[in-house]
This record gives sequence, structure tokens and C-alpha cells, in this order.
Amino acid sequence: MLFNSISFGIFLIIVFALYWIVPNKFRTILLFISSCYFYMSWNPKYILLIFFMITVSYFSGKIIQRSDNKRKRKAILTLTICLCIGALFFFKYFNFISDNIVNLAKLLSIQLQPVTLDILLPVGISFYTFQTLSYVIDIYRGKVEEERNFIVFATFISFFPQLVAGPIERSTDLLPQIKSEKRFSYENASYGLKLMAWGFFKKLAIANLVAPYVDKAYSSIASCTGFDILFMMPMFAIQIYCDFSGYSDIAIGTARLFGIKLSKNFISPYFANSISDMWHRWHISLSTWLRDYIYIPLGGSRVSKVRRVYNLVITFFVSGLWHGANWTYVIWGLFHGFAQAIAGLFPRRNKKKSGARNLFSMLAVFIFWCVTWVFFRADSITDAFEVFKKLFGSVTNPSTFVHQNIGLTPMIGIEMLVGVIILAIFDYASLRVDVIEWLSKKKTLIRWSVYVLLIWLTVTFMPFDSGAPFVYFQF
Amino acid sequence: MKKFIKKIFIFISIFIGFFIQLFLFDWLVIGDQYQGVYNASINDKIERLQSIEGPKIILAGDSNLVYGINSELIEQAFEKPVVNLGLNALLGNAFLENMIKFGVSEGDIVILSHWNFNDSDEIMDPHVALTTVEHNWEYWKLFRLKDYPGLIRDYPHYLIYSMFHWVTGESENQIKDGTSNSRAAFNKYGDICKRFDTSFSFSEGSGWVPETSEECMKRINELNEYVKSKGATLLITAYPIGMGEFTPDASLFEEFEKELTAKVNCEVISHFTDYFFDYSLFYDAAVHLNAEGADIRTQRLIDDLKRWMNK
Repeated sequence: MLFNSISFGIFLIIVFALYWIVPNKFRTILLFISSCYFYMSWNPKYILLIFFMITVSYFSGKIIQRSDNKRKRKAILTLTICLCIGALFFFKYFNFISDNIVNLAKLLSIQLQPVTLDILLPVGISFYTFQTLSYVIDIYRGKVEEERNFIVFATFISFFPQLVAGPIERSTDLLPQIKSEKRFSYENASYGLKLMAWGFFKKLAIANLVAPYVDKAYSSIASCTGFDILFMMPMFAIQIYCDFSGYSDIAIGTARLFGIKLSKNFISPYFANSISDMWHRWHISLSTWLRDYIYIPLGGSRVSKVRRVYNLVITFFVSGLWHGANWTYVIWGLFHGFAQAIAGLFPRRNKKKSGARNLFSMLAVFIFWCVTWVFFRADSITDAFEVFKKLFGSVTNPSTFVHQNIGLTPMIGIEMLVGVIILAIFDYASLRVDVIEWLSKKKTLIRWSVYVLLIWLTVTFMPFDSGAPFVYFQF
Repeated sequence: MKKFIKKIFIFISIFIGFFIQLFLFDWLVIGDQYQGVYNASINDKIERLQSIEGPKIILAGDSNLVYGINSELIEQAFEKPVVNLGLNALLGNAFLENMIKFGVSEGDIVILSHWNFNDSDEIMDPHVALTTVEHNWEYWKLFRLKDYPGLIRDYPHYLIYSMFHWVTGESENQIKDGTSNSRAAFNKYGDICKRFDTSFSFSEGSGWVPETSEECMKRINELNEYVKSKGATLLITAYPIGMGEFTPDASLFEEFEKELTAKVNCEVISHFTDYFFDYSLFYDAAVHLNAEGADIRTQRLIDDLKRWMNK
């Protein structure tokens, strides 16, 4: 059940209506049942996997909280991590590791038969595994108390708006909200709907519009020209941002309809003026998770320079691997790790930059992201290098800077441009104010005109077949 | 909660109101913007169909007819007026078949030629359909109720394109354009008579064996009943098939022909294997012939028709 489907619309209306009709004490169980139904609409069998994770972490949390024995606590924590990561490994990385062992053995002239599993990757497994782990680790660290009510805890792990692609929530933020008594708030619901509308605009009118052209270029790299590559690189950066942040906005907006505030996942990332700044703005719930549960435990930045480099590289290696079972993601992560480590070796004395320098830094960071996105998007490392070969080959042969294969019509080009300009204005304004709240204070005629125009542009720009799933669902 | 629901309803009403305003603006101010394009030839084809009194030969189907028939040769052979109703396959077979209903009458011979008998009974591209019918109420009758969700879904997209043409005056340029993909490239029968100097290069996948779908067979049989009720005859002929290294085995086409003959209630007058043409006779697609190819294919159709008439 995709957010951009009619079935989700019907589902949401029913759950929303029931949620505010039933007495408060039944609301959590309603959310839990709805979340189970939502997840089962992907693949009913995999609900057992979520139940497994919920049960393991619920009882682990209980035992860790109630035990005074350090060894026992540590053993339970280790066992929980092994079980949760083991499930993730089994579904997501088994075939990848098996293939790599076979390839390695081949290099050593040993013939091995590859063992592969013919299973579908459960949607959102990486997200809810990390959410589960953070709960157990936080109890071990004494930061949070165990949740005694199983249904409340199960709802925390399976809350449908953020179940399949985040934001990865912390128990300290989400659990108290699920447990609390809720009253319908017009402002909350209204804000939620507006945020959802903005998310749909990003997903349907920009990401889905751009996606076919990027896909076309990546599926026929050999026949691409320099122009095709040059066009495709920033376009993919726009696509993935609008796709993922669009999803996050819809998720946050949906949660608001139920009186629950989820954490922000993006803050105008392409306006970042350094790579480290970018990571404070991009997929914030994952980067803070990695910071709190990997980077800081490794020693963080209060260590020697060499050790800091090591910590960063390891953290981003995990980030890359988290995204997918392919070396392309690992290389993408390592690029970011090393880039941050190198930037850290030359700290800026004056953190305030002039306008021109700031603009130059933003552009440089954006170009860096565009380059690294090639590894993220390419099907293989060979394909990624082929993209760069084409691009740099075109520099020596400028005649190849001619549009040939993308099939982009002037009208679609104009639609993309309009979409990107609106996005840039919104994101730039978001650096200073909460645009939705700011707009809510304007005169009715102005704000309603904006809402009507936004929805109109969404239905106009979205391609006919706009049921494309969200990119991050595969993780 | 009441305030929230009330505001939602007000907003939906305003949005629908905005949509109606745009719709009226499109119909009353913008008007037709695609009168010069290939599919606008529907106007000339229907006009010819309705203008002929007495028995005629009607060719219905997709673009394999547009780029593959010399109607004049058929007219000379049978001394009956010919109308080629062939149009873009993206309109869907049902739309293309329904076009005959504008003028089929007693004594007519309707020849159906599709390259796809495995359709899902829907419009393949609603945008193409909207740009074809534009603001002609009569042509909207060619749609079935089930086509409307797709048309409504694409309407905002169509509207913005129309506005763009209206603002830039591009629609005027289309009318002046007489090249292969414009309305001006058709002759009075409805055949394309102007082509670019190009030829189609066949590759893996550009040769296929047709299949049948239940929906398609059911629809053709219903069409046959309709044609019969008007005192006319429905026949099926073959589309041009490229003959070369990527062509599937001829026996597979024979099997398909048998299957088609068994499933439809009208007569299949052509053998698909007779419609194998050398790759050099193809124009810009795997079912589009060049002028020489169109003449050869027409001659085969004439032979098939004569054989059927002499039965």
C-alpha cells in the first residue's frame, strides 16, 4: 500500500475517522491493528518478522531493566543485537555475502557453489531494526525505562506512517506520545494535511516526473552522451531528495493527523555549505542514530586525528551498507566518510562565510553529492565508472555534448524547471521559517490560492503512471 | 473536529470550482490546439466516411493502415469508394473500431487490421486520446464509461499543454506543417502520402507472433454483430510483418491465424504468412511500410478480397 495510491487514501480516511471516534483507551490498539494491516498489505507473511523483533526487544528490555547483574545485562543486549541484526543479515545480506565469498574463493582458485536464498526483502526492515535496537540499547544505557504495555511498545515499533521508510524514531520521543491521552487539534490536523500536500508535490510532481529520464539514462549508459550524463547527475540528486523527503513529509503529516509529532528528517539539505553540514540536514534520523550508536561509542571526535578518521570511515561504511547489499552503496558511504574525515583535518577558523563564498561552498557540496549519487544509483561499480568515463570522455570530445537519448520534450523540461524552482524557494525559506506555519498566518485568499495551486500543479505535473514506489522502500 | 471537516469540504468545493473554471476556459477560450497533428486527420476521415452515400470499403485499425495502404488502388480494383480510418494504436483498438459507427451502412465492407489482438480493451494513452478528440462532442462518443477515469486523470496535463500551445501559437505552426506526422500529410482517402527519407532497422524483439485476448475477441464479435445489423460485412486482414533474421517461424503465424479464425465470428480473409515483407520495404516502425511496400501490401489485400468475393 503505497502512500501515492488510492487504497492508502481510503485506508487513511477510515483509520483517521475511527481513531477520533473511539474512546481514548482504544486508540493505541486501533493504531496497532491498522499498522499491522498496513504492513500486511505488502506481504502478509512478514508481519511475523515484525512480531519477532517486537517480542525479542520487548522481553530483552524487561530483563535488562530488571537485572542488576552487569554480565547478564550485557549478555542479553548482545543476544538481542545478534537476533535483530541476524534477521536483517538473513533477509538483506545473505546473498550478498554468499556471492562475495564465492568470488573471493574464485580468486584463490577454489571452486565453491554459491548458496542463494530466493526471498523477497521485507519492506522497511532496515528502519524498524534500527528503531528496535535503539530502544534496547537505551534501556541498557539507563536512558529510558522499559515499556510495560506490550501493545504500546508494539505500536511504537510498527506505527504505520513511519514503518517502511522512517523517520527512525527514538523511544524517548515516540513512546510517551503513543501513551498520552489525545485530543483532536485542528491546528495539528491542518498542519499535517498541508505537509502531506507538500510531500505529495515533491514525490509526484518532481521525483516521479524526473525518474523515467534518469532510469532511461542508467539503463543505457553505453549509448549516453556527455550531455545525458551531465543532465542525469543533478536530476538524480533532485529525484532522490524529493522522493525521500516527500515520503518523510507525508509520514510526518500523516502522524500529525493522529496527534503524533515525528522528528524532522530533512532541513533543506542542498543548501548545506559543507559535507558535515549536509549530514546534519539529510536523513537526520539515520545520521543521528549512527552518531549515537556507532560513532560516539567508537570514541567520536574527542580522540586522535587518526582515530577520528577511523571512526568516521567505519560509521559511514555502516551507513553505506545499511542502504543496500551492494558494493556501490559501500563505496558511496566510504566516499562520504573520507570526505568528512579530510574536511575535519582542515577546520575552518572563521565559520561565517561571505555570501559569494557560501554560494561557492553550497555549489561544491552539491556537486560532490551529485558525484557520489552515481555510485548510489548505479547497478554496479562497473556501471558507475562507465558513467564517469562517459562524462570525462565528453570533456575531451565536446561534440558529444549533444542531447540524444533522454527523450525529454520541452514541455517536460519546463515542468521540471518549475518544480525545481518551487522546491528551491520552499527550501530556502525553510532555512528561516517554518513555511507551512508562516503561510497559515496569511490571509485566507492568499493561502488557499497557494494550496489550490499546489494541488493543481501536482495533478498536472505527475506522470500518468505515477504509482512508482518510493526509492527508500527498498532499504 | 467539526471545523476541520467543514474546512475540508469547503476546500474540496473550491478546488472543484477551480477545476470547472479551467474546464470552461479550455472549452470556451482555448479551444482546439491540435488541429494540425497526425491524429487530427480523424476529422477528415470521419467527414469522408459520412459524405459517401452507397456501398463503400472501410478500413479500420491502427497505423499499419495509415502507413501501409494505397486506397486508390483498392478503389480502382473494386470501383467502390474507400475510406481509410486507420489511426494511432495508442488510442486503443476499441476506439479505432468504434470509428466505423459514424458511417457504416448497408452494403459496406469493413476491413479490420490490427497488429495487436491481445489488447486489454482500454485506451493505451489517454493524452493521445484527448488531443485527438479535443472539443468535438461527437468524438467523445467514441469513449466508453470505463475510459473516463484515465481521461480525467490526464486532463490537467492535456490542459497545460493546450495552454502552452495557445500562448505560444504553436498550434498554428502544426497546421502549416506538411511533413510525415501531420494532418496535411494525409491524402483524401486517409492514407499517409508524404514520408521522410528513412527506413526502419529491425532488431531483437521487433518481430513477434501475435496473440489473442478474450476481451479483444469478444469486442470484435460484438462489432461483427453491429456491422451485420447495419447490413454490412466485417472482415479481418493481416498487418505487414517484417521478413528477415528476427522474424519468428512462419508456422507460429499459421497457428495464430487458426486460433483467430476459430475465435471470431467474422471471416479472416488473409493468410498472415502472405503479409511477410522484406525489411527494405519498411518505413519508420515494424508495421509501417514505405510507399513501395504499401502498394505491394494493397495488391495482396485486393487479391484476398477478390478471392473472398468469388467464393
